[in-house]
Amino acid sequence: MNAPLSEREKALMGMGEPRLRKEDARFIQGKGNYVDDMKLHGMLHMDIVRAPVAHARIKRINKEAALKIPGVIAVLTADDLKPLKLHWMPTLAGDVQAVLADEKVHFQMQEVAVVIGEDRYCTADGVEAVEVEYEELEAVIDPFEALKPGAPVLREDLVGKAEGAHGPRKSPNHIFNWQAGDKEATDAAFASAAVTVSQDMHYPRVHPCPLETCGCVASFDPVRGELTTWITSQAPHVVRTVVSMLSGIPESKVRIISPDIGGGFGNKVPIYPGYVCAIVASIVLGRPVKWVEDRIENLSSTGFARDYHMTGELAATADGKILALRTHVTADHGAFDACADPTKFPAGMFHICSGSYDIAAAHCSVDGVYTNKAPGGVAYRCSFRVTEAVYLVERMVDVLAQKLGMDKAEIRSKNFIKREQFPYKSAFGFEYDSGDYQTALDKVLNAVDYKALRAEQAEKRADPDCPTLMGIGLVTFTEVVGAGPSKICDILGVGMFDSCEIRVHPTGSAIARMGTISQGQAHQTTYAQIIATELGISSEIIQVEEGDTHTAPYGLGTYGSRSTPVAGAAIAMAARKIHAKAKTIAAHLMEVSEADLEWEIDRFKVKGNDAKFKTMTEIAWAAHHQPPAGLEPGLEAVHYYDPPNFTYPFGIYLCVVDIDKATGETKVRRFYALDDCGTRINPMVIEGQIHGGLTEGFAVAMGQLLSFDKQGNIQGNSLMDYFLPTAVETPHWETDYTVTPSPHHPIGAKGVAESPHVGSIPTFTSAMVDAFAHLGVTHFNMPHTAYRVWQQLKLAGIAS
Amino acid sequence: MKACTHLTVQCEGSDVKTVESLASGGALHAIQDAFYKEHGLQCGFCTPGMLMRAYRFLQDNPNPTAEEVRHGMSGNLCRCTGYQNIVKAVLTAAKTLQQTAVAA
Repeated sequence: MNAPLSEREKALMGMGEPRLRKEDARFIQGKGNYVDDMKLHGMLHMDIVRAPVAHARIKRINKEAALKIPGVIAVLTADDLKPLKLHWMPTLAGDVQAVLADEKVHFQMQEVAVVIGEDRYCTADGVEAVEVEYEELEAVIDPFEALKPGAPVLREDLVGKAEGAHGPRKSPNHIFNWQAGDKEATDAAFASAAVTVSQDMHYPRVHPCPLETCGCVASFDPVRGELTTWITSQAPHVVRTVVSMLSGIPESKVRIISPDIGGGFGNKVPIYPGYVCAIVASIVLGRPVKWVEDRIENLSSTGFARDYHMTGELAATADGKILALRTHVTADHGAFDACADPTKFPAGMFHICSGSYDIAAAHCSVDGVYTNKAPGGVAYRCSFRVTEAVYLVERMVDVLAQKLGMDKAEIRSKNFIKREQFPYKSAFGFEYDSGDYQTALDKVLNAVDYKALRAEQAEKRADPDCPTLMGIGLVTFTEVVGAGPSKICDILGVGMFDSCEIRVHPTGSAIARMGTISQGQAHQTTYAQIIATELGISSEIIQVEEGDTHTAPYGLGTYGSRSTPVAGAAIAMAARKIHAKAKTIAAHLMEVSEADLEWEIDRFKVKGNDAKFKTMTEIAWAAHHQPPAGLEPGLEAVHYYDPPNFTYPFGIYLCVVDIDKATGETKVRRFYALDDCGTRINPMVIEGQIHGGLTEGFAVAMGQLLSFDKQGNIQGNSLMDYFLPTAVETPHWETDYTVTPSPHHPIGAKGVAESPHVGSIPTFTSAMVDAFAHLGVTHFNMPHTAYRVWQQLKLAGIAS
Repeated sequence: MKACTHLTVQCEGSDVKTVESLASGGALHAIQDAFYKEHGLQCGFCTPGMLMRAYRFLQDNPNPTAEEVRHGMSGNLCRCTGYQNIVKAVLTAAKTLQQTAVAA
């Protein structure tokens, strides 16, 4: 009871403790509960007939042979969904998307029909037996060609519609033009600048490829008129609202459950045709229907990431002070605009592209384009296009440094937003909450002995017999996460707030529920740690539940590093409501006034009298036993948090590579990643996610690519070709941190763990290009496979 | 052994172990405990495979180097951890198992 303070603090296992995870027990014993683990009585299986070509008319679909297969129960096409008005559905981006191809195919592997059967085997046979007659059309693959007059028209359903969801459309395959910043001021700055640089770059199409593919088990109870669906979704409440709107079933009778999810990374945000068809099938047939896609389906048809063709420009003084940034993007969205962005931002948060720098004038313009490819664009730990924005600005700063012959660290220091300038309003209108970039940069440069590295590089460059090119990559990035204030951020009209409900039990333990959903981010541990510190209850006995829309308060889900900034704030605020009530009860129990009390770790004690105190456990009992007059019994609270602003985590990453001059193979010698996410809830959890994000970044930069041939055949859509690093290729990661809390967040936390993906990718390119910089090379595109690097070596006259 | 590359009949006569067999009498196996203590998992989807592969790997190589662990585990993919803590976990399990073997 009266153990030393440090012991009592440790016993809480609260904020800041690298405590081990509460979720692990089930995962290390094979007791995880993923969607494909669900087996319901009478459950049917669903599989999808997919288009073999990228652009075609559908002349005929013949279900006869499929329906004759024993065990096959039904085959559904767009015609079967038409009477329900479900053959098309709204996307998150204000467009519509075919649920099943309606007279026309828009991308290879698009869903054309679904087969429902008693088991996986007969259903697969059924898929093979469905006969579809296609009339192939010319495919549009290049987004620049798509915008040219006379290009084949993809979206016949939009013919005549000159106005899209985001303003006027310039041509049949054009989706939107979106701009931010001050064009006039920016153009003026460029016109008069002493130095300007320009660089084209492509952030290629890649895919999050989580280990668990997408799927659901839809179960409609015809007796109760209730729909329950277990689903791989990062946003179960949004799914419930949309499913209710589409099906006409009231939300109170729709239950969406996201169980354990085997990795999300943004791949599990969209609502896919497979989910809709499984739900329709279950309603029509009155039995549970399971749909789980395979790996090739996942890579070919679910939300891809990136595919931004960017031109960046910087205007500067002769000694390297950046005056203006200008950028244009041609954004390849695929055949339907299904970008998972907040409604008002068709290019996400791309306008964070002024980065960590104090730039007076800036302008960006993004043109979205339709092509015969699967829909998507915003996914893969991108924080809503922050990956693209950071890549652009960091490449441009390197290009400028090279033009001026300046060191890449020196030019960044020169242009940093200084600590005293925060809160800082960028030229694009973001109000950065806090930052201290120079301190972090100094820490990294000292840790790696940057001067020695540059000296070593100079030596190697001077030695013609050196078998490798040495490159040093440096990225100093700022992200914008924690979407977001409801007045500017909404998903299909629902404001991007989040929520927490906490209920403390008579014997002192608690259950808490939130509107987010972990896919490996350890919410069951970290959320409990927040509450533990706020309420003085050990995190061991605080149970955290997420993902069941029947019990969890409404939230917008987990993606874009928003859980800690938004739900984490709701947790602190709900806990503080309980804390305030507990104080009232404590005062009553000890017959003192609240002003006489102070909080110490796990108890209220009377000021100046250590012996007179009440622990939260004692207060919890009192709240249920004999609450003071005028106070409701019980000890619980709910808080819905609408954030006042985004949060702005930042990082400094440095990478050293050695490239074999003969083969183009690259060894990542060292990767040093310093992250500042404000207050750190669990250092062990943060570090683990940083390792994971850096590994994804390594994969993207060094080997991942989903490409298409001229006919629109997707290439590289299996793990034969799509680069997922194993333990052998993955470098050893060094992590570090600084702590610059967010002044507007209740616990000063900013959110973390998209940063290693966002920040590492340009760091790798920076290192690779730096290896060639002394030869005048300013940029080459990803992925930096050995073959592509070897081609650069040939171009530079190094390899033969 | 990967379930997707073997037909069930090929296992006739073999002793097949899955992750559920590791813990015994309510006590975790050293490998499970090591993954827990070294934070060798996040979403948990790859974990049963990692644990069973580590179990087999340590039978063949009870005292591996970190590089040997990386090669030994290279048949199992993970998207969450970046493998660093998995390698630590296998090395920790190796040490524990050796100490237990010595003690026994």
